[in-house]
Amino acid sequence: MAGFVIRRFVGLVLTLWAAATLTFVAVRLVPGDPVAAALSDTNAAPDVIARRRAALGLDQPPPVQYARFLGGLLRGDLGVTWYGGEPVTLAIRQQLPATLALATSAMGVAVILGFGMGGLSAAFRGRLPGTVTSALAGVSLATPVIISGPLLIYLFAIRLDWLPATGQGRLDNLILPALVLGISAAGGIARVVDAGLQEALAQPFATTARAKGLTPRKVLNRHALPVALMPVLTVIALQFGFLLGGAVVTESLFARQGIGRLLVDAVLRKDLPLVQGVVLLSAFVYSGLNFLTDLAHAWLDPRVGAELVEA
Amino acid sequence: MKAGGGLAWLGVALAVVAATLAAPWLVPGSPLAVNAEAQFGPPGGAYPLGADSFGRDVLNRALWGGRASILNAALATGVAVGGGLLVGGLAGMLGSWVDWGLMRAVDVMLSMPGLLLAVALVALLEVGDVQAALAVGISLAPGFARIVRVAVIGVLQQEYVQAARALGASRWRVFSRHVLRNIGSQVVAFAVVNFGWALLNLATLDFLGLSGSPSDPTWGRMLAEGRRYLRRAPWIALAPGLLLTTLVVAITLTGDAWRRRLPGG
Repeated sequence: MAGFVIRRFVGLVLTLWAAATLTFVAVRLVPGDPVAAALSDTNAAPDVIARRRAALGLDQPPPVQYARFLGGLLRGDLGVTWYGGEPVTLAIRQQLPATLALATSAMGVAVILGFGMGGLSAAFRGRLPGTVTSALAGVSLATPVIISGPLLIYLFAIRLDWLPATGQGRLDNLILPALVLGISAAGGIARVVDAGLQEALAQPFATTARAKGLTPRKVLNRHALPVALMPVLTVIALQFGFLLGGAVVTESLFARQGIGRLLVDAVLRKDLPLVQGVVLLSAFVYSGLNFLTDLAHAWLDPRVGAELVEA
Repeated sequence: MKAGGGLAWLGVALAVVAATLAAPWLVPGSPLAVNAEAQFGPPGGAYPLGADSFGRDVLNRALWGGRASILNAALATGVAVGGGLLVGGLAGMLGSWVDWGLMRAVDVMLSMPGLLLAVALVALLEVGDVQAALAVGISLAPGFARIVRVAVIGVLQQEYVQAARALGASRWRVFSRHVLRNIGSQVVAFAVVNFGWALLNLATLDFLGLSGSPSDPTWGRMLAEGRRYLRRAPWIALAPGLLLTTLVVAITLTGDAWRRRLPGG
């Protein structure tokens, strides 16, 4: 077990190092003078651009830049933005709370809807409620945020006028975005809950429980659900990464502040250090979640650790 | 789902694709033609699906826009399939350190959500339609490479392939005569699924304004305009939204049905 943890941890660190190196190389492969491009709409004079380049250390040879970049990364320093000149970590930290609030509340929506739809379609397999919920899960999987968003905004903000379509800060501003983003992730969770429950219900222990005279509901909740939970944990961790991607669109849809808006603005301004910072942050969160899920698996089921070490 | 269901969905997908590709003949007018008098005109009369904020015909733009969306998604899928076949094929055929190195590179690219990767790639390319398609294609390629690699290794373990190698067939001969033919249907099935993802991710980049000019219609850009005028003219978003959802659902279900018909699928 300890060997498994160490191997996976080294793998995680290597992946993140490679991701950092890849972004470093990619940023320097961009043709032309990226600083001039980032400042093009400010009409900066050539000597201002040259001074900005020097201040950013871009006049140094690439190996020196790389060493400085890695050293900065280890201290949690992602450099400064090309556009405004403020630290990248500061820009990210200012926007992070809004995105975390959106992603966690969307995760709550996704888990509730996912377990609801998946549970119903497993419990009522082959009957009308089961067919309806599994069809709904399929629709949720195939409908992107750019379609479900305008649809729900039209329904709840314009037709019914129950919730605001834009704005930030109050709880009612969060409901509609969380619902839109949560629904997009609910289908994936529902499918895994459904499949896991069906597999568990087919096991001998479920038959035994039924033979003892337990009601179908008790068999499902007490015996099948705990067994089905493990693959669901994996999917929830993966979906959280997916939600971070979806947050980019959701924030645009609802004109909200956050990491997603920060990224889109940075891309449009070609502010590469800021893009790099957001990309590295998401790689860190995504890979970190995968790492923790693997650990949880190995802890819950010792066979997993043994298999992965051999592979 | 039965194979018949898959065929029905394939028909739906082909109908949407045919309608958009035939846009120059079905709706011959220019999708850029503005008409100040028809601004925000509701569906009916000369504008069966309404008019947008410049008085442009929504039906016309939805079909022309679909044509652009589908062609761009086809380009993105081509990049994903080409890159995936190259990387996955090399890794599977050559094995050892080539395999190890390529798969670690794939791991790194998959260490972040695909949509974020595509958005970040747009920052390195330029803002434009072809660039957005390239970015989406590159972001889908690592997943494709993994599938191809597993399929190639599966074929190499077949006894007749091992016999061919023992008889002295070159790696290239084994690849072109045995491997490519055996993984063909799997590659096509996964390419169909990737085409659906490419459509969605491209529409998202369009929606975010990370691709070409806002006046050239695509489904994603029409949805972005429709979002802006949802209160005043909800029909602007309706046609592109319905067409995109229908096509993606049909493609996904076709791909699912196809995969189930494959041996071991």
